[in-house]
Amino acid sequence: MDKEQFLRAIKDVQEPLRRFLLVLCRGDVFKADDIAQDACVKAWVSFEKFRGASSFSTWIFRIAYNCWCDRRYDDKSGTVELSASDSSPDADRADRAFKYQDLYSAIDQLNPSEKAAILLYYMEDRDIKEISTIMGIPHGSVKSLLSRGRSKLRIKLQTQ
Amino acid sequence: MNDKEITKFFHDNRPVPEDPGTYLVGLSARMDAAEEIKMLCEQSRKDSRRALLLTFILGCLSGAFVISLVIFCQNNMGGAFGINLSEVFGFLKQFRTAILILVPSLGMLLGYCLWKAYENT
Repeated sequence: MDKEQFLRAIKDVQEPLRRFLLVLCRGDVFKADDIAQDACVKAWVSFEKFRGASSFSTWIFRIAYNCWCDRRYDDKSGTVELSASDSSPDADRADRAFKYQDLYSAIDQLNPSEKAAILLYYMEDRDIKEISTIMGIPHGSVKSLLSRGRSKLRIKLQTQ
Repeated sequence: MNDKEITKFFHDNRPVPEDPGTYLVGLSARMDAAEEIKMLCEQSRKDSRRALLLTFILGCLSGAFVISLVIFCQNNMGGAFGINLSEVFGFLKQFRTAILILVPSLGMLLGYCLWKAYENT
């Protein structure tokens, strides 16, 4: 696959991928796009490792999810990174956060794994098998993450 | 609240990522940079593989040189073209320590080179 073909393939998956990361990053567009680009570059560099066991989209989502996990770990371990989001106009960020505040406040109470599983299942319409591949966990674990997340969401959404 | 309602909530609140064009342009630039870095890494890997092969050949040659020196020096001392094995072995006994060090060193060097070559493929 050459660069143009790869970019064409990315064009088809970029919207759900960026949307998924955008919600995981709680509306931080710059951080989400940075992780999405990072994931796509990693996929491009190691494209020969893609054996087609899952769809291209699932493979990219898996890389992106791992990138997001790594970034979260870096953020926790105190790596200070001056991202583009630091220069983002506050008004824009506030507008975006306000627009989707129901969504963000609903998923805020979930832990990171539950958040990812719930978003993949309900927002991206992925099935259990795909979520299991993306998150690298067994089917049973995905089901229990979904079940726990669903219970927390129900309470939150009913009070909204 | 059932599954359908939760799905509807998420679908209704799907954020729309802005400007896919800018995103793809940025991605393309990053891919070019990554490609360049990958090429540099490949080049340095090739260089190190070449250097390891050279080291291996030099090691073998120097080993062969020392062994032949040991054998032919003894031969010349005897003044004949044929090798008198008992003399050779008698002579080699003097260099037992040197041989004991040299042979495992060459073996280790060979092992290291093969391992590196295997790792880089």
